Amino acid sequence: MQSGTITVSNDGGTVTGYYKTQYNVNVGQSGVGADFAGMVVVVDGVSLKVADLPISYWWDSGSSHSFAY
Amino acid sequence: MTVDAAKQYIWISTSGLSTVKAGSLVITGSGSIIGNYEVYVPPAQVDLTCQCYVTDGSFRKIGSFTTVFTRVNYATYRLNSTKPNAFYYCIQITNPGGTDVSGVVLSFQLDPEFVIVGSDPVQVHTGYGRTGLRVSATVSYNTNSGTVNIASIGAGQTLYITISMDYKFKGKTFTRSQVYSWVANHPSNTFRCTLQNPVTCQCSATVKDPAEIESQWAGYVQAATLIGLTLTGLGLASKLRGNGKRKISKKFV
Repeated sequence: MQSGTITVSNDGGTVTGYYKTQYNVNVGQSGVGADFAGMVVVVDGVSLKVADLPISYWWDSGSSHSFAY
Repeated sequence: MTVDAAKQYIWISTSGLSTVKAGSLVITGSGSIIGNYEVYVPPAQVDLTCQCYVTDGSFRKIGSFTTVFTRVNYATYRLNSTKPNAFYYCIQITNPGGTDVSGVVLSFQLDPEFVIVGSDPVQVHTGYGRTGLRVSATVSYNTNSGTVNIASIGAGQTLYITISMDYKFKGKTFTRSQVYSWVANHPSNTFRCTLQNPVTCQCSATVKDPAEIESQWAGYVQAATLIGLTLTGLGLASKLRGNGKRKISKKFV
């Protein structure tokens, strides 16, 4: 688990945390008015409107994500 | 992108981590991806209407005119004049919309029996006939057809194009049989206009042309009798005018 309680035994031991790199990606738009009710962009199959943007994602390094304006 | 009924936007570009409209991002770092849009303004609805008609020299609309033949001798007639004696082909272009319409191009075609006449025969004015302000236009024409380029027609404005023309057979001589055939069978005359740009519009005007034969020959009684007999045989009408001229006419009206 990422966090918790360790009860230390008499023999000792090692607790290792493994990490992977993630990057922060912001998805946004410019030019579309706030009154526009339609879809502006689709990210990984999810439709996003003006009110949803900008939106921030933390994505794993090397992962692939689709978008369509 | 979905189109909103009230307002439309068009994608212009994508900036940041990608430049394409749609695709895949392989994550190698942090950043932003921004879709850039502009408001889409649809082109204004362009609508022009056209009307055309033939008028006399005073811009009175006519539906017919008369060709007047005068007898030269027993066998020959001259088309001496027409009634009316001067003609205009008039084209009326109206812009009923709320915005100016630019780059208006129209072409016209006179009936083959008419020719363009005068030193400045094709004119554009803001008023009916040749009234109001003269509008600058690029005009080209040949014997009986031409084109007119008008830079702009204002919102709600009507422009009047006038083409001075004449009947090309004036002064020509004809044999008696040609004249009789003419009286019996001569077709109407049709004038056409086509608006080519920015919208298409077509109009045409047709005038009938009944003939009138005036005999001024010294032996008019004899001639009129001969003609009268012939024309009566063709089912034509004759009448004697008080001025001493024998007139025989057939009006196809």
